[in-house]
Amino acid sequence: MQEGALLCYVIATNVIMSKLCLSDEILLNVEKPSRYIGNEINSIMKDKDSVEVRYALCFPDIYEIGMSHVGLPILYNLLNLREDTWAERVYSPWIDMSKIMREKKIPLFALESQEPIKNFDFLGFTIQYEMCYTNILDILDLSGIPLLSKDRTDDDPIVMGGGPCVYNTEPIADFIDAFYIGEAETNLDAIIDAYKEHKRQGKSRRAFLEIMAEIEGVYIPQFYDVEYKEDGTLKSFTPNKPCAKPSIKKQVIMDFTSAIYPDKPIVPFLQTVHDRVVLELFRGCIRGCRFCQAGMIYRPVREKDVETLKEQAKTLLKNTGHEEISLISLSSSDYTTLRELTYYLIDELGDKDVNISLPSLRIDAFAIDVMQKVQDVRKSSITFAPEAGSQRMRDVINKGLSKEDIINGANLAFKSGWSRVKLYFMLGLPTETVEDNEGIATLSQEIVNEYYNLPKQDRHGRLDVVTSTSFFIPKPFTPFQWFKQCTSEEFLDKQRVVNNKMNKRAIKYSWHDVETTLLEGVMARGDRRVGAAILEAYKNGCLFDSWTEQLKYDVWIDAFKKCGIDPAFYNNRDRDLDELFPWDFIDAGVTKEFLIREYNRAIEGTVTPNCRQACSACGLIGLGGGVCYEDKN
Amino acid sequence: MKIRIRFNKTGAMKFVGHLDLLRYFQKAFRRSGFQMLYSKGFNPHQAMSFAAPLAIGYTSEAEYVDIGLEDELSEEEGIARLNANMADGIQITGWKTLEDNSKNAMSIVHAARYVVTLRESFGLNKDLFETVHNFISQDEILIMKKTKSSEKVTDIKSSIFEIKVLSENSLELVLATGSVLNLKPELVMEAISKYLDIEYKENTYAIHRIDIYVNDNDKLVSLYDTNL
Repeated sequence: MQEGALLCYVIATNVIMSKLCLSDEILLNVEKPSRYIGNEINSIMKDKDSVEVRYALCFPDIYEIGMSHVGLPILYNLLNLREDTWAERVYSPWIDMSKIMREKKIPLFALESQEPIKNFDFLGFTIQYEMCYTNILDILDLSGIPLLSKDRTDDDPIVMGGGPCVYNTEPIADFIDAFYIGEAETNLDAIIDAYKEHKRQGKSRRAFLEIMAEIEGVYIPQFYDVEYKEDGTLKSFTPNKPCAKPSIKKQVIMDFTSAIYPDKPIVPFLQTVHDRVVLELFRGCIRGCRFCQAGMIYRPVREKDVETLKEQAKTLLKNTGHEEISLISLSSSDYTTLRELTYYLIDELGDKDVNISLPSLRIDAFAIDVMQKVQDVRKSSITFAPEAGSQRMRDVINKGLSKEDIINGANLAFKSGWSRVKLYFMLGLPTETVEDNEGIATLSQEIVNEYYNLPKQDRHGRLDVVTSTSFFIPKPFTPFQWFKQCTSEEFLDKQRVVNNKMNKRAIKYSWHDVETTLLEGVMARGDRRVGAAILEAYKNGCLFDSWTEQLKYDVWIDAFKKCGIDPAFYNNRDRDLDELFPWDFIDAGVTKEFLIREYNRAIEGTVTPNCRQACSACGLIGLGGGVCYEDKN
Repeated sequence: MKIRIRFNKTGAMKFVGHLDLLRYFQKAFRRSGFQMLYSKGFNPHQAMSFAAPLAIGYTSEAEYVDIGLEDELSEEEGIARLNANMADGIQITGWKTLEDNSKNAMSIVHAARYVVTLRESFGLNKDLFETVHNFISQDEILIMKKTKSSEKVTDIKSSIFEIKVLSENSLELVLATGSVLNLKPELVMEAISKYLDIEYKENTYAIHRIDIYVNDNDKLVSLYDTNL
């Protein structure tokens, strides 16, 4: 009897140790079962009874994509540093798995504890691209959480959203209880503190949302009323509660060097998109390209001190065992001590067979020297992103890159052994003409010519030029937010112009999908009414819309029709400068005056100097730090 | 120095496939601060060789990987440093210094021992003792063996070195393993299903590897004990 009891005990402990939510039979019948098991090196396990707050962090796409994201580990680390909180991860189950979970009524669970999300205090989404909105609904649905914020009860987690897409929250405003605008390092702690206090007092969900509404950077959609004019544009956007702020201030961590950084990031078992250590050189961008939302919303530029980066590089490599380290930022050539850092890493790590990757680098003599040291020249390619084919067009978009820069860069690269070139352009930019489109083919050809003009002994390998075009989508908080997006027909016409002009014997031409572009445009500048169509599309089977082979365009178009949404209203309409936008309640730092100035300069084709050349009074200087004060210390 | 490492793979780790396990160990060696020897050539990589890949879903108590180290490490320290860097479900259980000229594990593997436990969903409809006795008494055991390029009928009987019933729903198998002859336990289970005239379904049984062997003078000797 006693022996038997002892045996049972031992078996039970084993079961607890390796308890997975899903049975072997399920896991062995899906693609890549290790997406669902957690247990990775550096993932954080806590005793659930010893914490007060449980937070599920979600990247609404599959594991391999979600695990490659740089932002989520920062939140994971911030929250788990608190003894009272356990943050766990959840990603979109792939279609094979979600089907089984639905059939067997298995609720979606977090990877670490393998426990249902529904029992958590918070479910926070990082929202990186517009085409993931149906995936957000799928996560909620699989978790057993009502899709609409208004239907949720005190038993449901608080559903939060953050990331670049929350600079226009409105299309998903019905699904999210609370948005956090800006960088989490500033006020995430305040939210958790407030929640703990609230939980102790046992007050309602609604009462907590009212408390949250007073925290800087937090936006609670249900506390605002929206009215529309007869022409469909916004008439008013007003708080309906005293706790709701008329304007929500973007949160910025000013001292980036001492910002808390995850020194033990999780090491996935699966090969993810980016399987490497990531060093963030700085946030923001000095360049001010007028199409680029990231360049506007992450202002001002704040660098991380080079000595700190050196230390972090060593720590991160030691704690993860990764073979590659990537230096990332929006424009790495603009990091003031890039040379020092790069040469230090090459000297320090070169003999340890650690690869160093430097995306977003301008191709010049320094870049070529570094790339020769850290990459296999035969295998790698060099990348240019002129974005536009003519100098006139590049001036309109404020892309400070001249034809000479590109040709000289290509020349240097060819002489140094490269023979593979990638070129990125956009089609459908404001004021664009046929000549600008043709310029894409011409510039590509000039790079080809540059190669063949070299004496034979200076050419290495077979020339391989790939020119890609994507379609321009105007985004909120950019000087182009007032411009119309091209119709699908206009886009395709432009693509045809490029294609006809392109010398396809020497250049491969590839393009972006026009259907995704139309949908993304509606999400990017949509208002609160668009949410109904997202819900309708989801209910009719739309999911993983960013995966071209999964996109059900016709279902989306039907959903728009059924909900009375005209995509052309959102996409193909030039807006007046005084139109009230659905995102105007957000104070993203850049002022409307600055954006209008830039809009006018774009039409004139006038270039605006970058932040280090001259201040353009964008509005961020008031924050008292970053690039705005670099010379003043 | 050349080291043979023995480890087990249990729990959630059984869902980590062979290529991912390889990457896992590469990173684990780096985290442990090992000075690995690197292969020469175009793309230098850590000198490391697994004895026999373990399929997704299998557990094991004796897997082997041979590695080359630049520095000298004692058994105690090697095991301690590695175990401090393992995920739950993998544990280093052995560390053995090999002669510099010894053959790597993969090239000398001859057999592996498995315990197969049938789940209810396997649909066993007869007594297992009797079934296995009659099954192995056949003159030949024919099965369709699928490779990437072809399908052919093969007699697997000579690749089953041992078969033994452990309980009413579990059996032990010793099967040919390696580059010359190789028989996967699921093929034996497929053959047993066929013999029982029941529908064969994958994953209706759990497979646990007990050990991997070499052939030393017609005796099965564990990879850990051999001096080959």
